Amino acid sequence: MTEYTSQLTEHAQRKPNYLLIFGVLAAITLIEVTLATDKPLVLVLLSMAKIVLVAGYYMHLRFASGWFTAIFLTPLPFVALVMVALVVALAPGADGSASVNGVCSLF
Amino acid sequence: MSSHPDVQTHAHDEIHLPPPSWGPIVIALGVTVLAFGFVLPLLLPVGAIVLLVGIWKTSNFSVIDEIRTSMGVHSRMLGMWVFLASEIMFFAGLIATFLGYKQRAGEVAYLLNVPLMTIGTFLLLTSSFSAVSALSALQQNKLKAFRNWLIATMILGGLFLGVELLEWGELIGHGITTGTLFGSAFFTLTGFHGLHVLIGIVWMVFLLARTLRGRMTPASATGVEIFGLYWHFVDIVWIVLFTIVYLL
Repeated sequence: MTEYTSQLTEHAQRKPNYLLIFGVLAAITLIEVTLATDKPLVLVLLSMAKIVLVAGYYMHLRFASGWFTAIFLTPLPFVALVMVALVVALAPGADGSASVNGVCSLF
Repeated sequence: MSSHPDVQTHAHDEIHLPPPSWGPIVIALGVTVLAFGFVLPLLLPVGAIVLLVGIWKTSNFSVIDEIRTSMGVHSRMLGMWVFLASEIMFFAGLIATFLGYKQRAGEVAYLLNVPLMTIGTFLLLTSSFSAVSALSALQQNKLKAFRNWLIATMILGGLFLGVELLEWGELIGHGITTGTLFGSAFFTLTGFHGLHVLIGIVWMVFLLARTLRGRMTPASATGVEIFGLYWHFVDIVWIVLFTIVYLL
C-alpha cells in the first residue's frame, strides 16, 4: 500500500493541467466548426491534435508505459487497409452499383 | 505491488488466481439470454438484468488487485488497452462502411444538424474533463469531490445521449430511416457509439454505488482509471465521428 501510495504521489506530481487541456480541446472544436468547415485537410489535422491531447494527457499515455502506446497504435495499419478496402468496395461504380470486384482486383 | 526487484521477481513467479465468484457464470448466462432477446424481444430486459447482476458481482471487489505482467505493466490496464485496440478495428469497419455508403447515398448530409451535435461534442469533451478530475480527486482521497465529478460525468454523458436522440428524431422526421442507404450506415455508426456511452454511464452507476457504500479509497483508483480509459476512448471515437460525419 505504501508503495502504491508513493506511485500515486509520483503520478500526482507529474499530473498535467487538465483544465488547460480542456480549454485547448474546446478552442480547437470552435475553430473546426467556425473557420475550418471547408478545409478538409485542416479538419483532419485538428481532429488528430484533439486525439493526441486526449490520449496523451487524459488517458495518460504521455506518462504511462510505452507498451500501452504500442498497443494503441498497432491497429492503425490494419485500420488503413480496412478503410481503403471498404471505401473502394462500397463506392459507386459507373453503373451506380457497388464496385466490389474492383477492390478484389487490388489483392 | 512493489517495484522492489525481489518482490517483483516473486510476483512474476506467482500464479494469480482471482477470488472465487459466480459472477462470470451469471454474465455468460445474461449475454446468452440477451442474444436470444434479439429474436424474442421479451427476453431482452431479462438478459440485461441478469447481465447487470453478473457484472455487479464480478466488479464488487473492495480493491482492484495490483498484479503486474512480465512486461512490468498493470495487468488490468493492459487488458483494457488491448480491448481498446480491438475497439479501434470495430469502429474502423463501421466508419469505412459509412464513408462508402455516404458516397452512394448522394446529397443528404445537409440534413445533419451540425450546431446541435457541436453542443453534443462539447458535452462529451467536458465529460472527459470531469472524468479525469474524478480520478484526480480519488487519488488525493477527496471522496466528496470524486463523487461530485463522477455524477457530473454521468449527467454530461446522459445529456449527450439526449442530444443524439434529438438528432435522430430530426433525421427520421426528414425520412432518413434505417431503411435508407445513408440512414442504415449513419444509425449503425452513431448507434454503436451511443451504446458505448450508455455502457459507460452504467459503469459509472456501479462506481457511484460503491462510493455511496463507502467502498472507494485511493487504493481503488486503478479501477477508476481503467473506467477513465474507456470513457476517454469513447470521446476519441466521437472526435473522429464528428469530423467524418458532420464536418467533412
